[in-house]
Amino acid sequence: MSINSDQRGSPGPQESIDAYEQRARRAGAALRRPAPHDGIAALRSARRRQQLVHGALAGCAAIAVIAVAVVVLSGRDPDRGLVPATVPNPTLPTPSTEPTPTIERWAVVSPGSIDMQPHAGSPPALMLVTGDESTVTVRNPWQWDVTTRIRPTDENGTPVAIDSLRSTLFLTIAISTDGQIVQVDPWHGGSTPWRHPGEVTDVFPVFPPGSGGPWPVAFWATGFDQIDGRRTPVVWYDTGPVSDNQGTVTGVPTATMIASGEPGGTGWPLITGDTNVAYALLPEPDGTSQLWIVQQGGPSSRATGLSFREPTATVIGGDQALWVADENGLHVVDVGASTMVARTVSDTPIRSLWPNYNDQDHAVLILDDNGAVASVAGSGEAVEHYRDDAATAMLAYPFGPDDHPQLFLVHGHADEVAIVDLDVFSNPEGAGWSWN
Amino acid sequence: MTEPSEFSIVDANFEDVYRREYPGLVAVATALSGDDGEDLVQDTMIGALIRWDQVGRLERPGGWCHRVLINLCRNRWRRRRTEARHLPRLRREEPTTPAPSDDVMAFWSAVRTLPQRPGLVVALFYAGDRTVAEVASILDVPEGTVRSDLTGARAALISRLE
Repeated sequence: MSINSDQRGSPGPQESIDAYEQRARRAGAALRRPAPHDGIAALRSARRRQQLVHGALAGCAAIAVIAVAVVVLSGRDPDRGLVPATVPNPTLPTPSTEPTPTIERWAVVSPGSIDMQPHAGSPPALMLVTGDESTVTVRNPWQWDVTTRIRPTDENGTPVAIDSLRSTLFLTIAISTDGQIVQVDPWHGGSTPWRHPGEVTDVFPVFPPGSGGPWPVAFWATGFDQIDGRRTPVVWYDTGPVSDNQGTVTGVPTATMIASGEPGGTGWPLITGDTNVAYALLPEPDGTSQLWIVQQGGPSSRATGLSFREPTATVIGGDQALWVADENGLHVVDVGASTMVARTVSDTPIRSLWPNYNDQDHAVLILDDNGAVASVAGSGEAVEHYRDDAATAMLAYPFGPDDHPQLFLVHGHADEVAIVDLDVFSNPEGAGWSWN
Repeated sequence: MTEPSEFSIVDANFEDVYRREYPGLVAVATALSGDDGEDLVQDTMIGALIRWDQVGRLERPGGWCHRVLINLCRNRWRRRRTEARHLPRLRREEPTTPAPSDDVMAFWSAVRTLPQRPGLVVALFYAGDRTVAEVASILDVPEGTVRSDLTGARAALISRLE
């Protein structure tokens, strides 16, 4: 005799399925409720609040972004080495006197801020700067409209060729032309030939937590020395106003020069949440680059055993992690640990790194040599692929137009830029918007 | 009679979508997050409002909203993992709406123990009241995968809810 489900006292398969379906639909319906009557008004109000907060925060964010953007802008030349000030380096190569167009078609980002704009209603806090050999084009990246175009000229008004974009100084852009650096103010559209040797061109203020006193409390700064066409970037750490390597700019020669020459990796001192300490990769005579630790007001020191070969990018990610990409792959160093050890998490060649502002779990964004973009966790696992086409440059920005972190992906030519909202990274339209 | 401005037309269209999609969105958000999902829906709809000139042209703006909402839910899960590591004692839930019944809570608690994609499929299908085709479009997977996930989830949930 067979025993059916009723005789067993428990439901049969079909009854179970039917009961489940009913329960699931009830559970779903129980959670649905109509939109609140004041929902639209609340949305508009929230959007206005976001816009206000964005405007206020963008100024602060721009300062942080500029520090790393400088690196993107400055067109690194791997033949030049950064020399620790206390370490003689007899092998420092002499820079070529021939200007080399390091970036033929470049696409870079120059940060600004609504609050810092001279014009009422100026668009965004972030400017995308593109150009060819003779023109700089500044665009509003979210609408892709051209803010201004600049054609640098010599004293006779003749257009001059642009060798490379060198750096930004807050709201200005420094580009190098044939034999000189031109400082451009894209928001006024003007350009100013800049011939002063030893001028400081980039500054990055550091605000130690809890500190007081007059602004600025401390500065990182780099400068260019244009004497005889040579360029000598320098890195400073100071507890007073900025000074240049000739002591001629702001006149307080108390700055401590920690290095001169082209820095390795991003080339910029990397600041963790503890802004009293910074990190920089400085080349050694044997061709490697060594991690240096700089204490505010204290001595600089080498981090024992942390040596990298031909570093291409460095970044501070979440959780006090220093990420370094070099010819051997991607490495992560826990700088908060008592003993710092470099752990190799990938052997993929990496083009650039950015902090993933979206998620501490996914500490860093990588752009590899194939143009693939991913978010990588501290374990080295690539947890999110954003895009797998031919991206050539990227920049992450913590405050997009709707307060979401944004990722800018630049393709071969700068006329195509995708913007990915890192909060909704796999957005419905294919991970971003593109313009041509 | 005054012609409505372009802006007011945009607002009217947005409001239609908002009122139509809100019930499903808030249900999915609540099902997936385990607490009142209203803030996630608000973030989603602010995103839609900001980009309405793009979103409003889509064939199914509701699908866009659901996809954004899913991503916000994923982000919340990640942040909660981080918070759980660093702030184990500081978090306090303050529900702003009456809690669903124990039966409903138990069902969605069980759904949240499923692997991520089947859990999303169940939430979108039953809470969001989306069709299989719509779920497939929102999650960017084939319809067969959605059906398979629904079947697999059903088997798992029947077992867990017994």
